[in-house]
Amino acid sequence: MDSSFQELYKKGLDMGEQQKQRQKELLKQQKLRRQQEQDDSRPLQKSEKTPPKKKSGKRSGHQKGIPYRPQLSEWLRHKPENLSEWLLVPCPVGKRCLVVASKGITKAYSKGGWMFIDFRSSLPGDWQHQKAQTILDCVYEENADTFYVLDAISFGQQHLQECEASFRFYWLRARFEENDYAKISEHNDKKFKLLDHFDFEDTSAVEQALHKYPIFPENKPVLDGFLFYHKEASYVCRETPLVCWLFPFMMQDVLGLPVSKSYKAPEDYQPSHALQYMDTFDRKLAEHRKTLKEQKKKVNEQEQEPHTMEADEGVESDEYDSLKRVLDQQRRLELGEFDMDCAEPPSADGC
Amino acid sequence: MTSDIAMQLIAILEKTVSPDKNELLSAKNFLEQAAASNLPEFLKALSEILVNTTNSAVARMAAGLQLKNHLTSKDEKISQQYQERWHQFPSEIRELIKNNILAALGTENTRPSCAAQCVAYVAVIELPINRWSMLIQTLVNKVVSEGSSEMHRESALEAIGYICQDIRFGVLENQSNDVLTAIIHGMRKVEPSNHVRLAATTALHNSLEFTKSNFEKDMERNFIMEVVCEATQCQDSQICVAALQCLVKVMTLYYQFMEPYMAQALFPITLAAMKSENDAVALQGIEFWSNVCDEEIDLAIESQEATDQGRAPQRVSKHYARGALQFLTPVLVEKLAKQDECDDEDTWSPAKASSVCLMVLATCCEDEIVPHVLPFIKENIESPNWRYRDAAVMTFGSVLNGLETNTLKPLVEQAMPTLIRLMYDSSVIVRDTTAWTFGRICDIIPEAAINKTYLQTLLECFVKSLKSEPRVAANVCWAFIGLSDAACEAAVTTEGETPETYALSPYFEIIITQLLETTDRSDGAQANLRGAAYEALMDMIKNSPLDCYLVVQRTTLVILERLNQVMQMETQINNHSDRHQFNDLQSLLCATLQSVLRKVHEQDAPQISDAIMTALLTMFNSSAGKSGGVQEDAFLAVSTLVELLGAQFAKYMPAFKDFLVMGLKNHQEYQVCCASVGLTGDIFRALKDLMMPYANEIMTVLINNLAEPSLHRSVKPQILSAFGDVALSIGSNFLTYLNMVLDMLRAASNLQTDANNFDMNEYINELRESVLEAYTGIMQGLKGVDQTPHPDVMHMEPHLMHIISFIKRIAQEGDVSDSMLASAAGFIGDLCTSFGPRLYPLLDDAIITQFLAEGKRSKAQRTKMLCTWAVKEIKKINTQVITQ
Repeated sequence: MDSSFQELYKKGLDMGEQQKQRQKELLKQQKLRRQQEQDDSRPLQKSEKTPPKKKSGKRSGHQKGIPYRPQLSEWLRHKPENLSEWLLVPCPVGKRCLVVASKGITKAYSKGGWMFIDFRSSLPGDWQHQKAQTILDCVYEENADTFYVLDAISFGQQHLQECEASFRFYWLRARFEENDYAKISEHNDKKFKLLDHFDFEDTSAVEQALHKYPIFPENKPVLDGFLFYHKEASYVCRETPLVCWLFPFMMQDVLGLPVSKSYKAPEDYQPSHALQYMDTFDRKLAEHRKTLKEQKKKVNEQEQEPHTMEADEGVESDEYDSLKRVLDQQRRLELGEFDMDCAEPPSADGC
Repeated sequence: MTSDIAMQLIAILEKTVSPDKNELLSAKNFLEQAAASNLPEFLKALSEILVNTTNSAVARMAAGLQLKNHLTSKDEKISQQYQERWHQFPSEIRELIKNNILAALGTENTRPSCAAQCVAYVAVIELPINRWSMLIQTLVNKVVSEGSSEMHRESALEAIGYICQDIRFGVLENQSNDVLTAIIHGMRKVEPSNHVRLAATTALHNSLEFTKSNFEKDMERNFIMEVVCEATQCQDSQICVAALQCLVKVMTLYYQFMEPYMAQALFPITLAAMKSENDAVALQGIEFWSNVCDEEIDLAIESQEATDQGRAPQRVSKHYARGALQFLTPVLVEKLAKQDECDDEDTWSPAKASSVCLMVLATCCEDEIVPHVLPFIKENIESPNWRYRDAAVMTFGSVLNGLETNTLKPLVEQAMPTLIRLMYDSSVIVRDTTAWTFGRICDIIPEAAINKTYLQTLLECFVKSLKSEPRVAANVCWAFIGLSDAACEAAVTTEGETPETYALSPYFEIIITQLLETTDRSDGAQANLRGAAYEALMDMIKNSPLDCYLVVQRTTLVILERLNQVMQMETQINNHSDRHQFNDLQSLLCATLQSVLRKVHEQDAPQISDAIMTALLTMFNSSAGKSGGVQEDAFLAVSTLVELLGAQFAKYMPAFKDFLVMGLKNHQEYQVCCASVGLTGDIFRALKDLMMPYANEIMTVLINNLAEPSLHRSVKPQILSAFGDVALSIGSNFLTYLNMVLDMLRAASNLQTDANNFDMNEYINELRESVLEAYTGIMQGLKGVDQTPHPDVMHMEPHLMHIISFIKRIAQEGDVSDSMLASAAGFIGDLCTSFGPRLYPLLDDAIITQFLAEGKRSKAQRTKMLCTWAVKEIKKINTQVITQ
C-alpha cells in the first residue's frame, strides 16, 4: 500500500542532501574568491574601521587571513658549540607585533593575533603593489611611535618565510636602503626602522656592539636584550630553539662575553645561577599570567552588554599596564617575548 | 489470414504461459517475428482471437496482453512511438481492431479484463485527437443499461478507470458528467456485484482530477460524497479501502469544499478506519489525516505569505487537524506499539504510518500536541514491554520537529538520562529508534544535546553505539553531525572565523578515531553506515576549532593512505555491486579529502600536496576515474588543493591538464563538466599567467562547450564566469578570444525573462550575473593593474553601449539580488576608472542613479560598498567633464 509519506519514516541522514550542500558550499566559495579577486583591483575603502560583527560579548577571534604569529625565542641556556653560525640582534623594549601591509592598508597585530592599530604605510602591499603583501616582525615603541623591524615573513612579492635568517636580513637591509621607511610622509603614517644585526663570525664587530653603551643613540629606544638568530633557520611562527634570548647582564655568565658595565643586573640575579634565574623568571611570569587571566574572566563576566572593539582593546591595555606595574623593575621583560597575548602556549596554528 | 495461421497463433499464445522455458522462449520469438513482419495484420489477428469467445481463455487473455503491449509502454518515449505507429495503420484495420476489442468487452471470464486495457489504450491514443468519439457513451451505456451483465458493467468501468488514469489532462473534462454518471451508478449501494462496485470506486479515484466542475456544484458534490462515504462502509474490505483512498484524494484536491462533511461523515469514518484491525483500512485512515495536516501546513504557509504581502489569503485552513488532535493521538500511539518484530524496510505498516502522521500533526499543531502525547511517553518509556518502550521513544522522536524551542528544550533535557539509558536497551528496535531520536534531537535542537551536564555521558554512549548494529550506528553518525554543527556554532564569536576551541575539543580525537573505524566496518554497506560515517567525519573536520588541528593533520594522512589503498583494491572487483561500492568509496574519500584540505594550514600544504596530487592523478588514470561521480568529487578535491596551494599548483599542471580537458569535454555527465569548469576558474585565478601555455586549448574547449546544444544549461553560466577568470589572469593575452567571447556574452545578455516561468527566470538571473562577472574580469584584465588603464581596454569600447543598456535592463526588471547589484555596481565603477569622463553621458542616467542609490541602502556589506564606490567614481568623472 503506497503512502505519499513513506519516505519520512525514520528518515535519518540524507546523504544526497549532504552532498548537495557540499557542492553548493564549494560553488559559493568559488564565487566569493572570484569577487574578492575582482574587488582587489578596485580602490575601495575597506570597511575596517567599523567594528567586526560579533555574536556575543566574548572577545573576538583572530583576524582571518593572518595565520601568522611572531617567531618566539627560547632562553639561550648554553653557549652554542659554534657561535659563528649565529647572528646577534640587539632588541629594544616595546610591544612585539606583526605588521601586515596588504590590500592597501597596514595593520599591526599583537602576538596573540589581535589587531591593535591600522594605518597607511609605504610598504609594498599598502601604498604600492596592493596585491603584494609585506609582513614584518617588529617591536613597537609607543613613545617614539616607531616600529623597530626585527625580521620579515614576506616583503612585497618576495616570500621570506622559507628563507634562511641571513638571507632575510640581507633582503630587508637592501629594501630599507632603497626606501626610507623611517620617514613619515603622505603615504607613510609611522616610522619603520630596521634593527642592526651582527655576525658572530666578525668577533670585533660583536665585541664593539656589546661594549657600546647606550647601543641605541641617546638610549632611545631602551635596549631590552639580545636576540640570537641561527643563520640557516627559516622563519617559524612559534617558539623555536633556533632563536634565543639573553638579557645583557647574562651575556658574561652564559656566553663568557663581556658587556658594557652600564648594563645593570636586577638585585635578585646571581651571576652563578643564571639558569635558575631564567626558571624563576618563567615561573613568575606564568603565575602572573594566571592571575591576569582570572581577572580578565571576572571582567568578562561583569560585562553585560556586548562590547565593541574599543572596549576589548581597553581590557587588553589594562592588562598590559598591570603587567608593567607588577614586573616593575623587570619591565623590559615584557618585551615581545612575554607579553600578555602569549598567555596560552604557542598555539599549533603557528606556521 | 487463413484459419490455419490463426490456429497456429492461438497455439503459440497458449504457450506464453507454459512452465517450459524453451516453449516460452520459442513462443516469445515467434510473436516478436510476427509483430516485426506485419504489425497491423498481427494486431488485427490478435483482436480477432480476443473477441472470439470460442477460443480458450488463456489464448484470449494472451492475445489481449500482446495487443496492449503494442499500444502502450511504461517508457514514455516508446509510448509516443507506439501512438504514432498506430496512426500509420490503414484506417480499416484500426476500425476493425477497435470494433473487436470493444465487442470483446464483457465477454471475458477472466479478471481483470484484457479487453478493457486494449480499449483504454486505444482510447488514450485516439480521444485527444477527437477520434472514437462514441466510445465514452458506449462504455457508459454498458454500465447503466438495464440488463447489462455484471461482466459488461465491470469491464466497462475498468476501461473507464484506465482511461481516466492515463489520459492527458484536459481531454475528458467536457465528458466528465457522462463518466461520473457511469462511475456513481456502479458505486451505488444497490449495485449487487462487489466486483462492479470495486471497479467503479477505482475508476472514481482515477477520475477525481478532472471532475472539478462537478465538485464545484453542491448537488453533485453531495451525491458523490454520499456514494463514496457509503462505499467506505462496505463489508468488502477492498471496496472499503478503495473508497477511503478516494476520500484521501478528495481531501487534498477539494479541501475547501469539505466543511459540510467533516464533522458528520469524514471524521467518524476515518477515525474508525484508523482503529481498524485490517491494516489496509487502518493505513488509509491514517493517510487521510496525514494529508489533512499536509494540506493545512501548506495553507498556514500561504496565509503567512499573504499576511506578509498585506493581502487576504485565497484559501484558509479550517484547522481540522487541531480539532481532531485529541482523538487522533491516542489511536496513533497505540498503533505505534504494534510494530513488526522483524522490521522489513519495504513493508508499510500502520505503526510506521502512525509515526509519520505524528510528525506532520506536530508540524501542523505545534505545541498543542504536547499534552496529548506526553502522558503516553511518560507512562511507557520505561515499560517492561519493549513494544511500548519503543512506541514511547518513537512518539517523542516524531513530535520533536513541531515544538517551539522553549517547550522542546526542557523536554529534551529532561529526557536525556532516560534516552541515554535506552541506547543500551536489550531490543535493537528500541536502540535504533532511540538513536534515530538522538539524530533528530541533534538535528532540530542540538543546543540541548551539547548541554554540559550530559555531554560526556552522551558522547561515551555515542562512541560505544558506533559499534552497534549498522542502522543504530548510522543514526549515531547523523547525531554527530548535528552536535558538531552546534558545538561550532556556539564557539564562533566572529562570523567566518575558526574558533580557538569548542565543547567537543576534549573528545575530538576519540570521536574521529571511532568514526574512522566505523568507516572501515565490514558491514558498512548496510543502512548506508559507511557513507553516514564519512559524512560525520567530514562534518566534524569542517567544524573543528584550532585546538584540534593536530588530529585534522593526522586524519589527512589517513585519508591519503586510504585513497592509495583503495586504488590497489580495484583489481579485486568482481561484479557490478562491488564496482558500485568501490566508486562510492572513492567519491567519499575525495569528499573527505576536500574537508580536511580546507582545514590544512597553508604552510603545511607543500609537505602533503605531492602525495595528494599523485593519488588523485592515479585515480583519474584508473578505470574508476572514468565514473562520473568519482570524477566530479575528484575535481572538487583538486579545487580545494588549488585554493590551498595557490600558484604552487603550477607544477602539477603538465600532468593534470589532460584530465581537466577531459572533464571539460564531458557533456553527458554535466555535473562533471560543471565541476571542471569551476576548477578551471580556480586554477586560472591561482596561477595567473603561468596558465598561458594551456590557455589556448582550454579556451577552445570552453568556447565549443557554450555552442554545444546538448550540454546541460546549468554549466553555461559557469563557463561565462570562467571566461572572466581567464581574462583577469592572462590580461592582454585574452585579446585573441575577445571578439568571440564578447559575441557570446552579448547573446547571453539578450535572453529575456518571462514572468510566468519561475525556473527560467532564476536561470536567466544566474546567467546575467555570470555575464557581468565575465565583463568585469575581461575589463579588469585588459585594463591592467596600473593607475593609468592599459590601452588594450579600448577594445571594449564598441560594446559599451550594449553593456550599459544591459545593466539598465537588469535595473528596470526589478527583483535584483544583492550579489547581482554588487556585480553591476562594481562593473560600473570599473567602467569609470577604465574609460574616464567620456563615459559620463552614458552613465548619467536616472535608471542607473536610482539603481545605485538603492544599492547604497543594501544590508549586504559588499553591495553597499561597491554601490557607494560606483557613485563616487561617476561623480569623479563628472567633475572631470566639467573641468575639461
